[in-house]
Amino acid sequence: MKFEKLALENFSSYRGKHQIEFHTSTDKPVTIIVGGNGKGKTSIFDAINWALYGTLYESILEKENQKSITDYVNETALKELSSADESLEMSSALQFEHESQRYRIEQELVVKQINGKTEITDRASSLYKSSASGNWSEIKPIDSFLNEILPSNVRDYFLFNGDRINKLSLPGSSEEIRDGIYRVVDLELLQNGSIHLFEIAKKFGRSAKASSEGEVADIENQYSQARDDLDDQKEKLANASEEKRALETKIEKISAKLSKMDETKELQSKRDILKERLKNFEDTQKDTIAEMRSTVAIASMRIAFGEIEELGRLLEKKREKGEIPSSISESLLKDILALQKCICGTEFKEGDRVYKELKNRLDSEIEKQVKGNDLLDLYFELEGAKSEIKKAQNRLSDLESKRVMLEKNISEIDSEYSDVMHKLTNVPDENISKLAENLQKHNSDLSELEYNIQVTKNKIREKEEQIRTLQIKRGELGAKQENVRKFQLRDNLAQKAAEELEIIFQKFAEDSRLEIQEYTSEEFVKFIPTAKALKIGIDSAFHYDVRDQIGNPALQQLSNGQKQALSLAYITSISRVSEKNPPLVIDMPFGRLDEDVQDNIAQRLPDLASQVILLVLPGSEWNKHTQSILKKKASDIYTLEFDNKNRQTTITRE
Amino acid sequence: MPLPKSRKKLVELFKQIKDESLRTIIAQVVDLENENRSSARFPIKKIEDIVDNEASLLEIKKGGRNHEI
Repeated sequence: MKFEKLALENFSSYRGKHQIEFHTSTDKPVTIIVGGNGKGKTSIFDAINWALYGTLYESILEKENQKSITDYVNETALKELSSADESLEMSSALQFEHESQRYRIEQELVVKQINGKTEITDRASSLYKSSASGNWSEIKPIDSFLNEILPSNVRDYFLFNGDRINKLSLPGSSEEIRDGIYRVVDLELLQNGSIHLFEIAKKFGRSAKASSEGEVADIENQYSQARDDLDDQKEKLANASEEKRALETKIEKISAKLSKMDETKELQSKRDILKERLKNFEDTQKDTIAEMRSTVAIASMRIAFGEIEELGRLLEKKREKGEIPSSISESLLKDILALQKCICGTEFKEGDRVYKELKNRLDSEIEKQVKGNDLLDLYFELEGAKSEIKKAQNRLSDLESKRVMLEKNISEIDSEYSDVMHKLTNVPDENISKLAENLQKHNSDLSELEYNIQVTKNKIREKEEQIRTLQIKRGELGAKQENVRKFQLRDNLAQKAAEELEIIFQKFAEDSRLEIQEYTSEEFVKFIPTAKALKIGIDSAFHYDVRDQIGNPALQQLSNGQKQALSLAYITSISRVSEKNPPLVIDMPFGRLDEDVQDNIAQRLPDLASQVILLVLPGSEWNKHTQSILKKKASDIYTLEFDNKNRQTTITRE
Repeated sequence: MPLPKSRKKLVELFKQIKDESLRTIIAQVVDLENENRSSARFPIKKIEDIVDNEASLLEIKKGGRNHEI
């Protein structure tokens, strides 16, 4: 089966007529449809499903999404209806090829707006087959045709979304896994056939009892009673097995929660350590910045460094020239004036010419000294300032390195902290002791239930033995009454056929489980090559069974992305085992997967089916990694754009 | 068109049923289940007819003697 074309009219955000063609080929089996949230991507997925399964898909939409099919009628087209008499058509048609024949399956609705409500006034489902001459002839009934090529109950394994992948990866999915295995290989048919045959056998048995008389009637009564008892015991066993499964699911869920709680405790302790380290680093960062601010004031004098050095050089020259006197000349003049005798030997007195001359020179020296001291002070101050600026510059450089390092540390710790906080928000906030108590209780209930199951099985064996003995007597006596014999024959035939069918069913179920287990394991390693050492399985109770190299359970050690890869491996294995080979249509296949898992899955997807249609989100799903892998395998890439003003989506082919 | 692997396996398992009447009944019942897999109401009366027809055939073959299964 291969999809060729999807034609929509007034479906969801697709106002008027739109068409998507799937030109897939063996070397390019992939079609990519890229659209952001709310841009009409999932509507394409719904349109394909609706075209194929009509009212059946409508009931799924009601049940799972609480949406009515009338919610899909394009809102703008509806608003444009001018009166209650005017009607609008919505349709989705899928053209596909199957075994070298071309088919077109279509769903159409006619709606009216009545008292503000969208009401369906007419509807049609049709399936056409194209003849060699190109004419289309209608095929009826649609259901039986689809049952042959893609039965509705296996739809989930070919047309699914990221939520389904996620759901199957969670604890408690064993029932769904079992159902999947039963459905795809026609096990349901065998199971139902066996149930129906048992029902008919019972009916014939009742008729035999009703027509019997005397000792034949006695034995028929005993036989009938034994059969009823056996049915009761079987029902009890079925209920207990169901109860056991429910308990196992509860235990599985609690164990998963508890294992997360161990993780929670570790995360909380890690969070506290990181928080403390973050605070220390931030405090140091504040101090460093404050010190930098004060240091930068001095270091900024660097801009005047040239002028300061020039001034220093000038003062040095002045000193060399003696323009900046030393204090020696001042002391000498004071001593001469005090002695009243010049160094040349001339004596003088206070007030005479020599005294006045020397006094004038002393005053001039003092004046020069004052000026000289100022310049000298300035010279030394400038030298000091130069040294301070250099020191401040070096310190500033050290502080800057420290600040950069702190910033890097803070950013790393902050990212680690955010990661821990994110993980913490995803773990259950429940009381550990309460959960542990529940777990203990469930485990004890399970042991009791297992004991009861064993007791019931023993009773069933006893009853079956009793029935075999009664059957012999019944046959012998029944031969005496023709009517009874007739019903007994029919009862025995139906009973034996039901039992044989049950044996076939069990054998087939086990073989299928083993086959799907093998494919799942094979596929999982292709998705996650690093998990090669793990042994992947689906156990007899249909749980995922993951073991490490030494055989210890390792399912809980898988990351969420790896668990989802495991469920995707399971879903695609189901499609392989079914041998129906329809297209694989996945809405948001990578949405919840880790980046490395995304790459491996993108690499593998084109090989999983002869046609793969992927509806992806730009960015998180349709990114440079997935593009580089899938573009080579894609025959068509469509982009969906939503015009907010006109409330409609347009489809563009790249 | 070749039979899918699962169908082939089913046929093999059917062949292992030694009693021909049971084989006939089972084959017809499985066909009926397949035809009605999507039906909301299963035609249980048809199962009764399948068993009845096979029993009648046996009765004719054995000249009305009880069929010992």
